Amino acid sequence: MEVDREFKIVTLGEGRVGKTSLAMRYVRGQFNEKEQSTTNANFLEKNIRINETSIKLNIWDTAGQERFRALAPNYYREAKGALLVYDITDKESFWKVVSWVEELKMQADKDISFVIAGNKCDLELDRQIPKEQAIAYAKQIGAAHYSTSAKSGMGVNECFEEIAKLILDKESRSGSPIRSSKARSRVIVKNQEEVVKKKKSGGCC
Amino acid sequence: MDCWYAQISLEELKKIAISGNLRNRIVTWRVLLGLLSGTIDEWVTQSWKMREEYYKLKTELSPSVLQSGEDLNLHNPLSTYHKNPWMCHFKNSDIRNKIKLDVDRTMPENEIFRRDHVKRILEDILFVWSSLHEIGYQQGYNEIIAVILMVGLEEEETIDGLSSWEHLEADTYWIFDKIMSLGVGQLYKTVEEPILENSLNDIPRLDKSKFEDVPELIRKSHYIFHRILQKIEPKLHSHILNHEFEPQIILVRWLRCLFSREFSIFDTVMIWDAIFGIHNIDMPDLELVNYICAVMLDVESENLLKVSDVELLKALTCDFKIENSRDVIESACIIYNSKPRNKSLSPVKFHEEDQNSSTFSFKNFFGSILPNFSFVCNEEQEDFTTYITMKTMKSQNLITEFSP
Repeated sequence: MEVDREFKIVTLGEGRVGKTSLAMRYVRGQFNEKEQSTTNANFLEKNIRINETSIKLNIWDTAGQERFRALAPNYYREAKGALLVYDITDKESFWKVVSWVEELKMQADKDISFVIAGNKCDLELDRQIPKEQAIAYAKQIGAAHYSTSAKSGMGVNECFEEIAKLILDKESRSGSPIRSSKARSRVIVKNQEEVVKKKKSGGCC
Repeated sequence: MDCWYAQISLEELKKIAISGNLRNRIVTWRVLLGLLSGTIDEWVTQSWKMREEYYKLKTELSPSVLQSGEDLNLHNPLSTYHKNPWMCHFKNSDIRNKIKLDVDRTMPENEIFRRDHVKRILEDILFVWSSLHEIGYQQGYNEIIAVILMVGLEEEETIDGLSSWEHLEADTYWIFDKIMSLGVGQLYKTVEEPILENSLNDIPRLDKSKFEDVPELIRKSHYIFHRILQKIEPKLHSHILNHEFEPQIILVRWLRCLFSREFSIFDTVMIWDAIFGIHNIDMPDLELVNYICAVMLDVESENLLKVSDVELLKALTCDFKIENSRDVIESACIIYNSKPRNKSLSPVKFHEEDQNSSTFSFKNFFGSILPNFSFVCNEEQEDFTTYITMKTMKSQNLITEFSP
């Protein structure tokens, strides 16, 4: 299949919220109650079509506990979209989403698109985060919010496709199609090396 | 006491471990790791002391909320009194809930870990260790403990005073604690400061093993990648480098879970035998681990060089599996033995007593060279010549196996 665009998307969020389950449900249509914890990252692909554009999504499904300098920047570097996942039955996991947003705003590509997923909606009775609060927060940071359940499949396709749509929208607004992430990464690195060189050579002339 | 390891020296036990013939691991691993020392009788005393210590810690960490004779105005679920056992109870149940979710999905394919009493043991060990260490609970500990528990539960014979199913929990706790203290715990630590803009840290191709203030995980991964793999398989090193995949993305799980996801449980145990067998109790970390990582990449290099981009990343991480641990162990030992070190720490030879075997033994081939070789140079650096020579010979079919 001819692919017009290729986007890298990361899943981020506290451990145990269901990042891998969401990605697996979306890509393979499967749900495994005892999905092993992700200790590095899973890499999944899915080809989709939005309007007339065929898109290959490269989903980097990350380990929940990796924050800050050790690993996370390797994962979200060059990502065009992020799916921020929390567990509706775990208050703390929602606050982790908030801190992820802060970090991405500072460190990630400035055009990165966010979608927030409140996962495990099949456990509505144990809900700790009011839906209205989560939606209000998403609105405030300009992100879409989806109620999802990897177990039942609810909202799963929608949240991933929303990210793809947001990225496409940003592209068309900025006028320049975003190239494949790899091509861009080369440019970024080159620039960084130049910065380093400049620093080293000092400011003569 | 009448048991096989009573008759042999530590050096002999090390050789048995490296050659893949170890038994009674709940005892012998503790000996190799330095938890038990001296005579067998002393081992028994040491075992009992450690078990008592563990049970004491476990009781102290989970104070009963139903103590009799306490003032119920202070000791109730709603009281904010700082010594209120209920406060501790609520905090503990938060950690326990996280741990439980991970215990439920530990080794999901293994029936043993679906048994309630095994899950309970795993949960308690995780809870006690995490409560006592600043780093707290992290995903990955469960994978290490699961291997030790498996080994203990499947051991055919138990030995009075030294290993029994009844005390498997306490013995497992101390083996895990020792592994964590030998550098593995450090790999779970991350630095929390934000990244500086334009910092050198952001350049993926750079060797960061000598950088100051980088987390141990990065330092170690970069050392393995840029200073070992680069020497033994430069083609694969540049192939991965060209993709700008940082070494820690590949090595994080191998290093933190000690290869338990990359090999079958049987081969993981063999790898651990060798790691603990090679380990010198005066050293601060498990030295063989670095060489095992590099060799794992090397043995898979042919397949890895064929793929690129996301396919390469997958092959290096989630899809990475090695069928046989023997080649990996013996190759890693060859690199270990060719590192010059203090004479008192003599290099460990494997298959020394293998005279009956008619198959080719690497020791017979290089055996006379290896020990001398180790003391020739003074620099504290690995010498990869032996390994590379061996690899070349193997590729030219001059030797078929590293050893029988």
